Amino acid sequence: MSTPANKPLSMSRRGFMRGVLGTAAGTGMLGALSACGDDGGSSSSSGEGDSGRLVFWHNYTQEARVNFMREVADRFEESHPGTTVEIEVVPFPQFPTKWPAAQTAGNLPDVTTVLPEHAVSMWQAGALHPMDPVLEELGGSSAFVPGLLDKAAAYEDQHILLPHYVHNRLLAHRTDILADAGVSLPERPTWDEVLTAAQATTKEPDQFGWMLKLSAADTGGGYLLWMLTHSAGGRFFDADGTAMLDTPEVKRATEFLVEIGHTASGPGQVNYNINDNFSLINAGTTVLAEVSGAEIGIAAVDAPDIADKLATTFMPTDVRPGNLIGAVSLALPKGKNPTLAQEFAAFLYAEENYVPFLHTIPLFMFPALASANSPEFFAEPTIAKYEATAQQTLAGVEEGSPPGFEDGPNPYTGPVFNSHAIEQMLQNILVGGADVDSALATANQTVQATLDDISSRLG
Amino acid sequence: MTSRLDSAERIDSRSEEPAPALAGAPPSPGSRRWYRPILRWLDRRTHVLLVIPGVALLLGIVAYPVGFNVWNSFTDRNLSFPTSAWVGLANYERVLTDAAFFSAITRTLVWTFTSVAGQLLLGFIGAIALQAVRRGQGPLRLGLIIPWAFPSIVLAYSWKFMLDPIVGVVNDVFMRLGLIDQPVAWLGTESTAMPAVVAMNIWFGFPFMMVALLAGLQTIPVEHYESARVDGANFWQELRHITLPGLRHVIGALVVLRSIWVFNNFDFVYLTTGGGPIRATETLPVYAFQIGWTNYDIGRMAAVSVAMLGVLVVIVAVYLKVLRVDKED
Repeated sequence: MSTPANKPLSMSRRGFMRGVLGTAAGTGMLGALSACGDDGGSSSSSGEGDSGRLVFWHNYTQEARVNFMREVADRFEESHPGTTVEIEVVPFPQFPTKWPAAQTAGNLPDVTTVLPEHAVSMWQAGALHPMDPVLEELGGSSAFVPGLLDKAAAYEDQHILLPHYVHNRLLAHRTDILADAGVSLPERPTWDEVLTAAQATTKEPDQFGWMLKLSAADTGGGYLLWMLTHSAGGRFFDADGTAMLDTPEVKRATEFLVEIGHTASGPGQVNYNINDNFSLINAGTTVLAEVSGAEIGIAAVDAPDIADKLATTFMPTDVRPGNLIGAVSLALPKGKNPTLAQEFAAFLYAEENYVPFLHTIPLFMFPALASANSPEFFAEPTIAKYEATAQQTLAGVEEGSPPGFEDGPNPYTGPVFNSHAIEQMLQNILVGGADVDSALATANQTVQATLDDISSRLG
Repeated sequence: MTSRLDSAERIDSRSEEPAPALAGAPPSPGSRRWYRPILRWLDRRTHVLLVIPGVALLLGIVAYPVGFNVWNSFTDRNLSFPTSAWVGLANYERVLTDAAFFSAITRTLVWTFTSVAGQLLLGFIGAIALQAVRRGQGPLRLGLIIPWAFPSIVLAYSWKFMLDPIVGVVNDVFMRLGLIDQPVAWLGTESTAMPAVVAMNIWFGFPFMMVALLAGLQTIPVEHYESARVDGANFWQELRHITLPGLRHVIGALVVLRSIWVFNNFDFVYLTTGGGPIRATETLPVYAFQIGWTNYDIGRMAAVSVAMLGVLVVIVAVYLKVLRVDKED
């Protein structure tokens, strides 16, 4: 006998269609009711609901900077009633893959922090608004450190970004180990002086004069060779997109780096990347390291004993110092609230927000705004303690440029460094035993192919 | 008494009857005639309607991305430039003339087969050993599956640290044991980088194999072993004639699944070596990543991924063929 429990399932086509239509109608009604109950707040994703919603991506992962940015956003919300600032932390390693996906999905943020080479790619892809209205609001080009906008922000007659803060690559060293080895470094050391110091402080198997970081997973090796090439008076490519890795300057810089790699660096140098710097210095594994003030600032907080033993010089000088500027910048992607985005970007530079932000991690960030180069900035205790490092950074910012930006922002820099042709070339020489000339010739071909690709797209 | 069959037949026969005309509706004998057979056919096969949403979802989330990827492989789509154009087979031509692509295929095959073989062997040994444990099998099983539970980034950096030539524990232990005279840069030397990442992958993947094989072992009737022992069979004979045949299907499914996963694995290799040194560990996923996400060359990356799909289809087809032959035997 059939019971309700074991009654066979019976559904006709009409029953099924009635069920589907009923479910669809119910869902539609619920959706309509939900829309009626929506107060137009920050959760809305389109139309009127977006009028007060601003999305801000930044790369600041440390707690102090994250909290400070939230406080700035809260103040902006207070001064702009009805506005909601949504912050998403997007570390720079994720940024190159995240913005294209967001652009495809129509979800670009309104404001973002960005590296200059990424900003050029975004500009090429039509993902950015110009920053000129914000620049005007701030008082024009003279508001920034002299020359900085030409070196990092001006592209195709527009300012595609504005530097939020700057720093310069320096050569840090452990003063205690250098003193034990009986060597010292002047403030602007030559290549020979650095090589001598690195070799003198190498005590295998656990202490190396200058542990190189040549992993192909980041651009540390490419940046280091660029600094040395810049120091030798050369460059990787010219403004017309011609590779120049086969020039004497690049060869000399490569030979210097290979000499360091063979005589003062250690096993594992092809696996280390820039993020390993702090632990290598902290452990005493490397005596010299190319750093920004950031590593000193972090050491001052996390490892004060080590920080007390650290000092910096300019990067080695051949015909000029090998300065490399880092310019973490603000840009305006084509989000949903361009006008509000301009106001928020300007707000980040406001007096009550700017220098206090730079002080969240002292020595990490230096002023891009000329007016912020003030006694107030230098009075911060850690910055005052490492005044030489601060002054070297500011001098380097004036003298140097971002990597590959000798003539200002261009579309070639990002792809050339991201191709990792330089890291592959250095690995070929140091691990694979290739000779410098043939390795440079191969890398030059790779870089030229990359440049040609871009040139053909640009017409 | 009404049987299920009777009910089903009644439903079918009811749905065969023409639907009664709606009250008040004007007669239109010709206008509705064309789709009546379809409706009648659907009445007899309501299950087709039930399957349609699932199939549509599958097409949306699988076929669309695959189709979009194939389409991209015929264009010069680059994320740094707003427009793209049809370039025919140019991306494929460029990929197939790149020596690095073929080197990456070779390395991917080495990476996949050695990893899966190692995982299977270790997993099998672990499963046999664990089955013999009578007390505390649960905690042991839990302990052994820990590697599987950690995020790959944690595992990759832990292994990178352990294999570090200066502060790594592996060198220290090997030197104390007299196996090596001086520290080795396991991930920084061409000859040792691939074996090192494979060892790491075997360690990571064997617990999955072990748990699945243990479950398979527990489905083999104990009576088979008891009969064999009565007949005087030793451990190896039991293994060969009872255990392995009993696990054949589980092993087949595991090998196919793990091969696909390991073949497509990107994070372990990239996080530990970045594909280096000198491309010694550059597998196809890493190669595709370098093209697509560092150069933004989506068109060429799509061509690489289509080629990867081809290689993977060949591998799986061979596996399935081998399994089918085995089944027929």
